[in-house]
Amino acid sequence: MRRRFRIPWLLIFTILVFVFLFAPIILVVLFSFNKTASLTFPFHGFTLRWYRTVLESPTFMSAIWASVRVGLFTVALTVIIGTLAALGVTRYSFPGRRALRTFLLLPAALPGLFMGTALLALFSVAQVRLSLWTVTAGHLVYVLPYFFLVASTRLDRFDFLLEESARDLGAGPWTTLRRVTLPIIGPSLIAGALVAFSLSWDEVMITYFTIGNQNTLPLVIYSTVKQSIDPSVNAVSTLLLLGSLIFLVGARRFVADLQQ
Amino acid sequence: MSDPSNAYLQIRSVTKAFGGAAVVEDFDLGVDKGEFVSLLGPSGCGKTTLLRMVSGLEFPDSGAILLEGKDITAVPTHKRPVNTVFQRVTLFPHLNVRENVEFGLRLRHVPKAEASGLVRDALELVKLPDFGERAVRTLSGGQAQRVALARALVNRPKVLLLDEPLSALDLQIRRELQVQLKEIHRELQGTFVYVTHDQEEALSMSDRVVVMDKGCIIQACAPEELYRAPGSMFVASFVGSGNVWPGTLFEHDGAVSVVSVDGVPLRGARVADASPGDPVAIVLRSEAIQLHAGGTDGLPDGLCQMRGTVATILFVGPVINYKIDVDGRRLTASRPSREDQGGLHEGSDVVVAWRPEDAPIVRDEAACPPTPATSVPSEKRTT
Repeated sequence: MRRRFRIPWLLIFTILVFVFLFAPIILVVLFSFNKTASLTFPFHGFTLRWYRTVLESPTFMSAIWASVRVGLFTVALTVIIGTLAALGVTRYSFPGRRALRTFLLLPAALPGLFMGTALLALFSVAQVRLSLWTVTAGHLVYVLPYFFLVASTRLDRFDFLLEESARDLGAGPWTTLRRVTLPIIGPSLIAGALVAFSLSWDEVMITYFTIGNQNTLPLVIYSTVKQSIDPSVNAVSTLLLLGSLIFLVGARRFVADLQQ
Repeated sequence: MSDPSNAYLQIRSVTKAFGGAAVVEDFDLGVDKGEFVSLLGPSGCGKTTLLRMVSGLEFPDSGAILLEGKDITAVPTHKRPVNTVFQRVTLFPHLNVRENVEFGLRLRHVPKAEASGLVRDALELVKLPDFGERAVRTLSGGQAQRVALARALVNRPKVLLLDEPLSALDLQIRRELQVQLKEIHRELQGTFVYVTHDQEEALSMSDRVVVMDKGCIIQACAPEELYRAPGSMFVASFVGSGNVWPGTLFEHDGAVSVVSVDGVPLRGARVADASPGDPVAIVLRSEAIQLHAGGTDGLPDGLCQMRGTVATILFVGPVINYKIDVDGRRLTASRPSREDQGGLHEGSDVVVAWRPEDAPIVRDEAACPPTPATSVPSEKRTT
């Protein structure tokens, strides 16, 4: 039988989608190493000059540290509150348990614009001065549902008879949590924490509304791009991307625990 | 057997209800030191709840639990010198076998060298000496339960509680582990309380079987006595295989009592505390029934007999099970398969015979006090 050649439409379409998805990313990364300041081809050779500019710029550096600080505090609070909330709704049965679960997930479904306005309104009513702390509070509201979802999903699969077994063997409530429950659900909590950090790391909308006179990295990038075409933006964007990637790839390693 | 007021483990008028339904009601039981006691009953009879109250995972609504004379009713689980093997595998998945067994010892700060010796002994006891470094997920169901047993026994519990630990296993492994458990009990001379709904398991392992229904004790005695002299119809139908036919007591005749079943007089062992006219039931164990194909000739004197027709013959290896229709009732008999059955086949006439002393007669009444609202099996916990 002779096979007629057919145009592989599906393959072409798939390639086009991928080009569309990844071309901007590749361009930014590529131009962050470009020798000249112009954002046009041809490429004029490799340099790390823009990265040096970023590292030497007080604006960029303070923004990176602000983002790291907000991210770390957000994650710490999220892990504590989210784990306790997940333990509460999975371990005990009480009236309103299902409603509570839904409410805890709700902020994830709200538009960022709405959350930003609402938080700003709240802070001005309560006369809280806007700072990185108000940003952290905003991020907490925003990332908690994601972490809670991961933690409660893991705990749904957790056999609480293991805890009874530990108590039967002589472990008090605290020891049981430390020696049995946390080690078993730990990998999932770490995955949730990494996702939480990467969400906080590049959050713009809520940050924009709740920020004081300090700036986080995404906001600095945004305002820099608005003012001028500065190749160091490419470098700092690449750093931002790298930060997110590290945490998301890290989270993937622990997701296996969630899926078994 | 044991006087509940000075037994090693005492359960004193314990009552427990879940959501208004009494699961255990005014329950009294004493367990002697070194005794192997089984709590036997259908699911929902309160046996697991009772065990959980002894371990401290549930607390009674009223009543007391004493161990060595000390009231432990309010002592939390982790402070009771009692350990449990659960029905489901509850080995900690993040620890290996050795670390699992070591768990209780480490909590009690047993020195490392001593602990590792105890762990080795415990694993040897359950015949898994080389399994220490194995991951829990590589164990079979039977191995996992043996490790769970070692994990409990290594702490030298004053009472070992076993909550249907073998019920999830294959029949063959279950039988092997029953023997192993019995040997371990003999070796350690420990006090074991075993919960099961499997009558064969209870009979074969225990010193004493406590038959439970609806949260209270129906009968508590040695396995042989339970089998030979069931105290009520519930026990007779729950323990052993056979035919339990209700009727009314017709008369006593020396060592024999006569029961009228649908007008047919049947003779069995004399029943105490029942007078003519009382509702009773005769228990014809399938293995106590003899079958004769050739009519009533040559039958020894003193046998009771009925005529019937063989309906079904089931060959199951060591025994052959016969279903026989007698006066519109279905009777089960089992005979050793090596015995010559003299040409019995499906549809053939047969004479069914038994010695009256092999056929206990039981009172047809609930030994349990009538308790309202116990129909809901509430052993399930909300997790």
